Amino acid sequence: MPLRWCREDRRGPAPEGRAGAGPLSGIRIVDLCWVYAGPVMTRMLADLGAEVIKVESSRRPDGTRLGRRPLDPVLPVPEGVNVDLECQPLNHALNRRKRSVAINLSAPEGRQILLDLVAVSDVVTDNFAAGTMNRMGLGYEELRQANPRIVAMSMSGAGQFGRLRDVPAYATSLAALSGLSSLVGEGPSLYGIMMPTYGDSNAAIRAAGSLLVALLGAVRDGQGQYIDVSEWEAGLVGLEEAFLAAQLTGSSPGPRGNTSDYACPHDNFRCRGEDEWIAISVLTDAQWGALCEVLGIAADGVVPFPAVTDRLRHRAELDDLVQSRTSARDAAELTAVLQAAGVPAFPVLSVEGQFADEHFVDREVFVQAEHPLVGAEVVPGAPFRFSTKHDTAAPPMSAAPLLGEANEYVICELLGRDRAELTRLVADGVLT
Amino acid sequence: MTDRPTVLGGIKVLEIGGTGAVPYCGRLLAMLGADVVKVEPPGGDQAARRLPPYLPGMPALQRSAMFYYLNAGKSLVTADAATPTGGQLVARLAERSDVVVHNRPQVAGLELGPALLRRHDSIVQCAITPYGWSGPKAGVVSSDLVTNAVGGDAYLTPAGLAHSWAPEREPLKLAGFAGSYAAGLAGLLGVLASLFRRAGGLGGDFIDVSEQDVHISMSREQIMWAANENVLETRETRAMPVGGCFECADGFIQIYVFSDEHWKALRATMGDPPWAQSQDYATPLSRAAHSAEINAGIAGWARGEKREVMYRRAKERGATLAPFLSPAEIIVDQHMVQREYLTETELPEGTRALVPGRPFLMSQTPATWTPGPIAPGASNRAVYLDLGLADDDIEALTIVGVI
Repeated sequence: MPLRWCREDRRGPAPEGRAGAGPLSGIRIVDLCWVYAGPVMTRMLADLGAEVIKVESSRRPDGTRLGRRPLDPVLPVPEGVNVDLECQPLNHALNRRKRSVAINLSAPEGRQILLDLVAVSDVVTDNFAAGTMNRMGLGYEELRQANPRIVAMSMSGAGQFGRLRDVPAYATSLAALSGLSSLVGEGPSLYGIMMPTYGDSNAAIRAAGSLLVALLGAVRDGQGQYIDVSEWEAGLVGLEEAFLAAQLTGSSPGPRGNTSDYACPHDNFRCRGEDEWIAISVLTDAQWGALCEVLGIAADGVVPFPAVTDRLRHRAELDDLVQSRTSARDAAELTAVLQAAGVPAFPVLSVEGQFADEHFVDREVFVQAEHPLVGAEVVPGAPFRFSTKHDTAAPPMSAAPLLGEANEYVICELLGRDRAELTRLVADGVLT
Repeated sequence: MTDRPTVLGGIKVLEIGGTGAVPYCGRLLAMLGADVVKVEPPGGDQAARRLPPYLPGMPALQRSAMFYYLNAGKSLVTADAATPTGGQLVARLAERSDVVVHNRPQVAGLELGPALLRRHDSIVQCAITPYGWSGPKAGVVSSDLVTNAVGGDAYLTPAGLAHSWAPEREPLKLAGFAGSYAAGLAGLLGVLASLFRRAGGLGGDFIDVSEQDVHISMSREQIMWAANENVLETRETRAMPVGGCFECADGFIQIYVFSDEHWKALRATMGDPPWAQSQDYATPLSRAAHSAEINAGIAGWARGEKREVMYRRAKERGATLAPFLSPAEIIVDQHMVQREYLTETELPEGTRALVPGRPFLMSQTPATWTPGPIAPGASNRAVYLDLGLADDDIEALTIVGVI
């Protein structure tokens, strides 16, 4: 299975008739977000049909426009386009379905253009360090003077206030501070760290939800508002059980590997091949019976430890038993048999495995976008699918924008200035 | 906070099925002011009501603190959806709702999904299932462990230094229910977007949310590198050259070093020991070439230090160093209390606990949680009377076990 499957095997746009306008069509977002968490949030809003105009500048490029060796362009490079800033795959993944205007916000005229754009928009988003928008003269009060109905959201590591508001907002730091890191792993001395971007995407989805709440509020009474999103707090999503246990049982839960309080076996088991594993979780006694049957554990038809309380008491023994039966099996083949028997199971998938799985191909979890320089490339799809009945299905996919690709659209169409003015703004270093 | 009304005041939600994503989505809708009716099988959802930890002094099916957290504040009704009469009750509840959130349960006489939208144009319906509504694996059973495996998280956990401590060990799942809850949030997003569109004059919608899709599509730079650069990251290779997780005198810390500024700040935090002053470590590339010895040096320093001391020093010097905090430590952290993220809540039998409160901090739109009774069918009478049933009907249905 070639990893570059999208370019070789899946040419052409999504099937005809599937694209719509999205439920947020007509909403315009002025997006000052950069790097990771913020762009994931506005990407979801773009998937819902909002027009997302990314405000950026070559003077201080988005970190995802830098850092790795860029892809080689396969299409002609227009004059003045900086390939180094335009061909980073991660930047393409995070900013697909968006537009880009290049504004130098440290120039007074640049700041005024931004405020003029805010006046004809619905939402402003940023994920700078706490307090940055105020320092740039773009705090909520200034934005509201430009547009009294504006919904403004700032997303930062630990929020705009509180004793730790200046904590560095790197995902691994936030995972440590949120309690998540202390709960991954096993035993008193072995802690795991999780994928660094985990907290970013959780924060992003919560932040997107809060913007929708604000938009619904604005529908009701025509007023905007200010939203303060803390990425740290997003790290707590899903950890409620641990927080309640710490208070109700009197002892704080520690790292617990893959175990569960109420399910056993419940682990990733080694299969045949290099770094091949299968996740199996037995949630009911019936599933245990089925697992025993499939793995040949039920000698003479007698299922050992039929009750979950007994299984939990003999967890190590059962894990060894299951492991001894899975290690010679193929993870995909065993998954098929177990799923057919009603047991939750799946191979531990790498990205390569995700590309290859027919289910995710069928559901278009990865889609194709046509980038102006690198051509067809794979990007992540939307995390939800809307029916096509009311034109709320996702709008057509478009690739991440070149820096400043929408300068003319913003200056001439949205702000109504003429082309001579556009040329002057570029020459004066206001649009750059 | 002002006196602006909740955004979902007057919105009727019907919630059916699930122990994680669907109830979490329902809880968020309830916090935003919606009137949520939750349907359980007669006697209550046995799996969901047994989730630990437990509230003291409560009967068996009402002692799950997780069930309480997710569901107190909804109107809890029971109905045996597999029977024609029970299915009809659920169908009637669905028909009078603005929003239906479910995990694709079997309901006698009621076809969910696109069919429901065809028959009732104004209903916003969201199905949150492990593998989604369509595709070869639609309907296959799953769990949070499996979602972690499918979504790519397990394949890369633990990574870097933590992986090197025990390279033979199995991939690890993340803690808690993050897998389902992210899908619950995606469902909320879909429902709110649909309601926004409906407020603009359009009809309802059917939204298909798959837990696995959410996790795969929310991730991750790995996708792009694998697809475009033929680079497949593993637990072994996914590491910053310098930094990661280090054991210290009273727990663990996480250190992030990328730029020269990060490195300078970390050196200052460590008291600039002679080994760290080597010119060999002056640039990102040279640090990568010497990463093992640098990490060993950091580990040696960290081992004798306490988390809070290191964190304070790092903050003064601008280094990116964070202590691993446990839930018990976070609960007493003033930052969370100041931000009202954790709010003290009265649980049954007088227990008080800090629980995660509002989902977002918004200047104008309140989100509140008002717990109510959680006995199975606690709201049967109120809801079914409202549906037009008489007291006698309700009693009869109870006796035959339909509700």
